[in-house]
Amino acid sequence: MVSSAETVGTGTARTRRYKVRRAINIYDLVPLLLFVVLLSLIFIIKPRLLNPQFIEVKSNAGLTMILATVGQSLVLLSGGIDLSIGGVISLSNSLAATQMQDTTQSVVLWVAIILAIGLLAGLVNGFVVAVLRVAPFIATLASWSILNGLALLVLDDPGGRAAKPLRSFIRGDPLNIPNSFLFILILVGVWLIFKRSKWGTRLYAVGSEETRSQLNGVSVVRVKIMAYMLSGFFAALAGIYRTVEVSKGSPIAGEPFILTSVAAALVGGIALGGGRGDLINAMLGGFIMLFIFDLITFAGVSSFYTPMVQGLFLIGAVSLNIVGHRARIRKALEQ
Amino acid sequence: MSALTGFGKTVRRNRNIVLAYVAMLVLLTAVSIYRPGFGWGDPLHLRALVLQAAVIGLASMGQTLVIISGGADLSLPWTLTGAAIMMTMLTQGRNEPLVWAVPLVLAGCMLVGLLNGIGVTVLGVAPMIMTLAMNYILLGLIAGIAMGGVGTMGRYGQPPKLVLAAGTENLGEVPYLILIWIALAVFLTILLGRTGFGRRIFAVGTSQSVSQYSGVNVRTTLIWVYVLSALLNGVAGILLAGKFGRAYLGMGDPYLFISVAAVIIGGASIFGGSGSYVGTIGGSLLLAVLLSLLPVLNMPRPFQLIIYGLVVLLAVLFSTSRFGSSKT
Repeated sequence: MVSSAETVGTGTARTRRYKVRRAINIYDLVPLLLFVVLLSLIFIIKPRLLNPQFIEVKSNAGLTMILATVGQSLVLLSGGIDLSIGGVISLSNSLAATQMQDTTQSVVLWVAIILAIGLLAGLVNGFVVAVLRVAPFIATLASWSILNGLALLVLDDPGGRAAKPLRSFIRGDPLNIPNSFLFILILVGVWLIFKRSKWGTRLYAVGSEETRSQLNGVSVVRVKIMAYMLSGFFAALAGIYRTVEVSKGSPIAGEPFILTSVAAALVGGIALGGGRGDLINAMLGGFIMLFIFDLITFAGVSSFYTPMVQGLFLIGAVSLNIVGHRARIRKALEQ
Repeated sequence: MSALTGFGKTVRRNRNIVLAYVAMLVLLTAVSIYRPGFGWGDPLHLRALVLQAAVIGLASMGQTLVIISGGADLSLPWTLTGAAIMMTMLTQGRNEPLVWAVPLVLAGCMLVGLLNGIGVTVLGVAPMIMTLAMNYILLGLIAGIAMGGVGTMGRYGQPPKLVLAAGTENLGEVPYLILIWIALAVFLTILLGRTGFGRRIFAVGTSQSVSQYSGVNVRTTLIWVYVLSALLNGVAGILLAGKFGRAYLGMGDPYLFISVAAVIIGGASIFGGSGSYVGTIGGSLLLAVLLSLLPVLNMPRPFQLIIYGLVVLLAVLFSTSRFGSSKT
């Protein structure tokens, strides 16, 4: 679907019209709409939050979740699911909090090692799913358990600390923009390029029609392994960032992000089963989950109820997505 | 001769289940040889093993049904926790209120299952997502009620004496918990193997459209599967509160992974249409034996997670490889 405009290249009138129709599908705007509504609600309830600082606070608080959601979304787009990100986040968080010394050299070395571990975990996941053909749910559930065990071997109780060079690098703002916000902007930019690239097109192709992609010469195995490796990479980044965010490490740091990353991606319109959705919407989904927490706190309701509202949002968003997909198919059939 | 081939056929058809039991027995024997005080050498150790397996097996009853039907019940942790906490809060540690508290709690569980079933069938939400969302909803609700609205859990976590007895005391030499497990196992095995409803669960798990065209009411069957699963998870929650001596927030969290592991090791396919509770029992026993290996081999506890992960992977690889059955 994405490739249709590209492959035709010069663009006949027919493909142009098709593209325009795609762009105005109202269901794709649901995450943005929810994002704007919740954000407005926050500002209406607490007008004094309406200042530039808000962006920094929210980016800092949301980056771990955004990173986890980005990785998860890439795997979801390929038609899989990655439950092992919880283990990768825990392991990288534990390693970053205990192994890094206060020298730039040590920080760079360990960041490299941790990212390599994330990529390796993704490679193994991708291999087990794509080559050995184990159901993604089971394969990544198993590797999550293994990684979590390794994290507990590194650090058996919450502890450690964030190395100073790492902290000053992540918390600095050389361009007068908070680094975490800058990073989210970079992610959006990279995604926009990636989505239109060869590999981005293949990712959507494999997610929506695995067999046909294979028949059309796409290496399904390579695309899937790429998706899991990217997921492992982003989860490792999330674990490193988490160390700075909470100033310590925990062997179960990643657990809350396993299912919330899936929930955020789905609230952001990524379809379970693959091939549909956009990473930018998924990131909005991450922020939507965050804003729900804020609004509940503002309303004076115990924050223990947050997951309940998030769960209801998840069902609502997924139901809307299903309705939207059915409407799209009906429209396509009418033509 | 014919009896032998019949036996061979049964073994071949259920090779994953047989594999789970054989692996369990081999491991147990190996432990007994390595450390004469453990395993076969010590009836008390054996009983502790079966008790550990009973905990896993009780928590995996609902998951077995849902996985056979082609789904997965991710709302298990907080259905289980919720039932345990609501039971202790309603009874406040006294026996008398159990008469109405237990039916009320189990009815609540069935309502959770009904909502899961409606979400999956009527709304068309994928089972994994629907039950995941339900887990969140329950997590918020239970934590909110237990910590925010009503009071701190500390005072309410104590289960009544009757529930404690069911979880910790023995009838002669056999713990009540194991007896209850056996009774429920017989019930589930008959339900799955000998009733029309059981056959419909397998049919729906194999192919929803074919089942629909063959006159199976897919919607009703699935709704009942989720209702039953939530009910069984609620029963497990109440019993585990008795076994652990208290109900606490998050008590069900480890059982999401463990229940899926027990069912998958027991030869079920995550894609649905195959599996059995006898298999799940094998999976539970194997996981319990593996857990008991750690102290024997002087391994720190984190190795439990690593070994569980590896065993699940191995079990799935065996069942999907060309050495295993043709069905994934």
